[in-house]
Amino acid sequence: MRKSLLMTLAMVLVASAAYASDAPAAAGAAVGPTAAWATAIGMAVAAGLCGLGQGMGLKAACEGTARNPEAGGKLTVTLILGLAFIESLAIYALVVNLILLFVKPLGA
Amino acid sequence: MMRETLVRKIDALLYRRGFALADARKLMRNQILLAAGGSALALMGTGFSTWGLSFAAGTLIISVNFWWLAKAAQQLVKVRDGAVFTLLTLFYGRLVLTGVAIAALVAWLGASVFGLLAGLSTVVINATLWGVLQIRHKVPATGNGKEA
Repeated sequence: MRKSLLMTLAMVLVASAAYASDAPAAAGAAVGPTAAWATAIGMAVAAGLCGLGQGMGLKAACEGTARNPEAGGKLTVTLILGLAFIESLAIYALVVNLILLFVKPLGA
Repeated sequence: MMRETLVRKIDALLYRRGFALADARKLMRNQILLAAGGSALALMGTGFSTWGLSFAAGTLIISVNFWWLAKAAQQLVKVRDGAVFTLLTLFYGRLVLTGVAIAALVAWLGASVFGLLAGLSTVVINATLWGVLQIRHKVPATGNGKEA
């Protein structure tokens, strides 16, 4: 069931990209809408996965602190570092997506 | 002497602002010093060019983000219920604000993308340096084999 759902999603995504490339203005104008789709999907994936990672990190830190309250200080610093790394990933993805959207390195 | 006074003043400010944990305070202080020093170097070195200004803007954005994150994390570890929801709400709120700021810089103010990325990387540099220094402090010095 899950496999067929993933297959359907992949086919829909590939088909929409293929139709976008067959758009009327084939000489470069199609890059715009495709880039918009790519940035939207890219940012959604990045934000979702980074949120998931942050949640899992905090959950583990809370559990660790509950088990061993004396290690709370060290766990908090490690948590801050982990969260900072994850957040940096999200911000890098954001910058790359904004470059694709506004700077348009792939064309107009 | 001057450096010690500056460090003490920053530490006192951070303590007043809720950074009760000594290591978190040290981490935030390093980030502030790295951001300020890096921005000053970039601005002076490039003669207040677009790259230098973009670098300074990047360091400012990421430092504000890190401040908010570190302060929230210190509180959230102690929370029993709803910590993950609060963390995610804060994360997405920060991401939206950062997105608006970076979009304004890239799209309307014509900031240098590479300068911005370099500025945003200061927090990664700070965290990596912190990790490396911690590992170096933990690993005992290797002897000459005659200890036993």
